[in-house]
Amino acid sequence: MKDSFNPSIEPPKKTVTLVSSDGYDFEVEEEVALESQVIKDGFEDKAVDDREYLLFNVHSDTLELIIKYCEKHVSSRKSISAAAASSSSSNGEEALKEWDEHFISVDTNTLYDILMAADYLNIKSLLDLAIQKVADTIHGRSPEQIRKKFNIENDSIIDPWASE
Amino acid sequence: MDRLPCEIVTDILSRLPIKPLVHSRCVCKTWCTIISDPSFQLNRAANTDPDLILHCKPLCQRNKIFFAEKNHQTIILKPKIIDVSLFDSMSLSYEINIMGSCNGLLCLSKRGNKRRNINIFNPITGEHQQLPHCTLPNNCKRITKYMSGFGYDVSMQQFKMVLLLFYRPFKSINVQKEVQVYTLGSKDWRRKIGNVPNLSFPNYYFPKYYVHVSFVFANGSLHWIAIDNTSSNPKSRIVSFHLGVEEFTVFPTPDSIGQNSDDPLKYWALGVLDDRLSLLDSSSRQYVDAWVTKDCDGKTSWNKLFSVRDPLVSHRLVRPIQVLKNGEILLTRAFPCLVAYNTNSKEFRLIEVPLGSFEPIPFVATLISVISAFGMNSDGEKLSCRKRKQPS
Repeated sequence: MKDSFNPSIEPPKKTVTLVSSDGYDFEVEEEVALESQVIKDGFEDKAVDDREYLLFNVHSDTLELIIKYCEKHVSSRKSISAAAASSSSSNGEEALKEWDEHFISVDTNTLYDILMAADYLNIKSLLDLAIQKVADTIHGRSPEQIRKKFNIENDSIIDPWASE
Repeated sequence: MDRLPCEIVTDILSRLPIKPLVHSRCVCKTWCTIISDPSFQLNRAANTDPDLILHCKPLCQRNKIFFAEKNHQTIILKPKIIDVSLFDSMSLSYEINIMGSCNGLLCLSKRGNKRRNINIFNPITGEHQQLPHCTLPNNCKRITKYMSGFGYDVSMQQFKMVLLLFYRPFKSINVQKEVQVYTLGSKDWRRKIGNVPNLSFPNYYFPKYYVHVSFVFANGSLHWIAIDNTSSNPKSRIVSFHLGVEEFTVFPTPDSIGQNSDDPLKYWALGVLDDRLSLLDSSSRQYVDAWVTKDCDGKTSWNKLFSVRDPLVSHRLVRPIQVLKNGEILLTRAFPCLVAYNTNSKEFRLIEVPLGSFEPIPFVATLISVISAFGMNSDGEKLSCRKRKQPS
């Protein structure tokens, strides 16, 4: 890695422990955890050896995905700004968009889980991505198809409008 | 979906275009409640790029409006016929005039209609409602002309219709003015006693070009072009009427704008670009300047958006319409056609419209219910959507 040639030796990466609702520990780098606005708020007030977060609302399956998303975004941001600094051409943003698109192409239940977790942890870009995905899924479907797709009970009193 | 908090569902639904939104109303009760909420529709309208409605002018097509879908090069039209027989006291023998639009509601009148029947119409839901007739000014012998405007007052959350009436009183030849305001949902028009700037108003901007929209609604105010005849050298002015405080002001014009004493009116036109008031000045045959307002420390000033010095190109540019998704500025050109101006390359391109003559109207599709707009009444009194007793 380029960093190893750097004379100023970086201190070892600080880590934070995230505990899922089903009791699994995830050790992640500080900057990855700080993608969550909820963790970021009041982070400095917490003692260094007490940086453990119990996420009662996030299952380990979902947390794994969330961490994967945050790690990707932290590393992409770094490489994009590095490319900008050395003024070398980079299609980092495009590539990240593609990655996002692939990442969010999941089944409905997983999408809900990601949505709820992104809302709970307040990760704005992920919440935005998930909300847009649901909106895109609704687009082009009939009310019946939407109900089926999203598992919604039909309690509607309006007759479907005749489409023009 | 039951697991999702209401604000997330609201966010999801607010990102849908109008057609899937219409379908989504009948998915379940919760969705229907969210979508039918007027504040949801107003928020969505504020965050949606306006579409375009084309109102057709030739006799064979008249009283038809078209929803325009903009492609890169062309405009695809989806005809939507306004069935005029729907509107009470409007008949097929009259031509409908679209006075303007605001938050998805169109304001229609019947051309040459002495009774000044005004209808509010949502072309998406098909709902409509006729406004009561305004009260004639005291001592009025004859209405000589009127200026109109329609907009939304955010502070009171009400739609308002404004009429500036010019009338000839009995026993006098001097034309007098009176302003009347109608808040959608209230019983009657209100007379506004206040000062109307001492300016003259034209009926239309460009009669020969079939451009009839005479007002522009931006930033909570209605705007018109007027002429200051008080000096020997007539000048064009922009007149504003704020819908919250309900008062007229003369809106500042760009400092370095050209003034043409010949017929200044012919050469100024207002529009709204990205929520900002804009002005197209073609006072000279040699050039066209486009201006937009900008807010600076609470003071409004003007920025020159572009200037075209090539008479071949600038000739007959009429009115700014809207900013397209790719950043180009859509304008009308005389003998109605649409052109898009690219501010970077400084080039115009013609947009084909398969209609003979038409009038483009910026329009945001919403599901705002006309009935509930009329129900948003300060007295808490609901009005029914049916034919009202007309004053004799």
